[in-house]
Amino acid sequence: MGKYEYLALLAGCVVLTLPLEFVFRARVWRRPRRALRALVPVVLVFGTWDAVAIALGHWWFNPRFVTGTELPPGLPVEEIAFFVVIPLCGLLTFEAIRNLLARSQTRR
Amino acid sequence: MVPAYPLGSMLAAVAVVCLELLWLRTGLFRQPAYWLSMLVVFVFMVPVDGWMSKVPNPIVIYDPDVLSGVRFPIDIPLEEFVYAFAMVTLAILLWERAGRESHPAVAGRRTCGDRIVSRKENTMGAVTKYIRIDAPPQQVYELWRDPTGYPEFMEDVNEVEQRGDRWHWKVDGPAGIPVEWDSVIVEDIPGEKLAWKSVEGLSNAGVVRFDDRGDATDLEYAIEFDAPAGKAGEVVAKLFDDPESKVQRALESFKRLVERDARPRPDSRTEVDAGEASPQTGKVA
Repeated sequence: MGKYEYLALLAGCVVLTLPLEFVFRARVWRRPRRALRALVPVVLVFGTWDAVAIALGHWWFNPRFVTGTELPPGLPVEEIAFFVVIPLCGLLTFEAIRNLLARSQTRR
Repeated sequence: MVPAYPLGSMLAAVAVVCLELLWLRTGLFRQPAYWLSMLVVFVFMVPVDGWMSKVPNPIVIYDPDVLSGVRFPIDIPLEEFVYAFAMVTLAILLWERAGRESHPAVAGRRTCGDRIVSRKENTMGAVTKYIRIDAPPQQVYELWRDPTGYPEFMEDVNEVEQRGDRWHWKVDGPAGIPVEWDSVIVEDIPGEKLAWKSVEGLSNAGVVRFDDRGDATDLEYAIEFDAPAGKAGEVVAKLFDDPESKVQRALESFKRLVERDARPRPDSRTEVDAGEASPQTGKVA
């Protein structure tokens, strides 16, 4: 995988949580506008923090595992993807669990 | 002094909690589904974050000076869990907020238990009401989707029949004379929204939205009607006389019906019924 390892890890997260959308009817991907309104502020806030921390040398990325593509202000594309993918997984988990709990209550 | 990363993570977590408690007030922290989700997120974080921070080949490399120094489990800096809590909670809070804002009059309001959540002013020939029902939206939707049950909670409605893609309404008009009209569904999103309009006879249109509140549903009911001249006008005047309280009574009766149905009963519907029922099934009682 080499330089694509970080991206592949995130892709794995997307693929593994995708069934939640359908099997447990999480309906996150199918409500894109609502999802955008949840994710855009997360990307902005945590992206800013990330850019500052990287600029201060608090953390950095192993060049063996990232593509090297950066967006201003010095954010690796993988990090932007991270701030989209991980909260998205969180939303899918939340909606799926809420549906499960609601359904189990209906059945009782 | 607390190193930068644990400090930043804790501040972020506190900020997100304050955001909910002081401003957004979505009620998220009272939902068991949220806490269970965070647990699941933490569990799945271990392999993902463990992979990213694994020594000696980490993807992300930290300056040891900014870390707390506690790495658990595997090589994950412990403060990552606080960071993840802040990030995922922020996303879910905003998701809840965005869902609520699609219901303008409910936006920003606290829930009020079993009471009507909010009400709009009665404008010309239009009423909007909200009610909270203690049942999941899919189940509430199923019952509303079956018009043959309407006479049970709409006081003037005698009968609603499904005729092909039309609903045929029979309603008690002035002096007991029945009034009939047809309506069609114009939008039907299972578990979320149902909209209809009349095609013949009395001119009216309405929409019901079902907003997912975890174990409960915030139902929004909006109806518009024209008040024509002549006999039809008298009918409208009778049917929609004091529409505010009529609609309110209807919604409260509907709420009782749904919640009676949602109560534990040996023959209560199964998950499959509740999920995929056709319009003909799911008849009220």
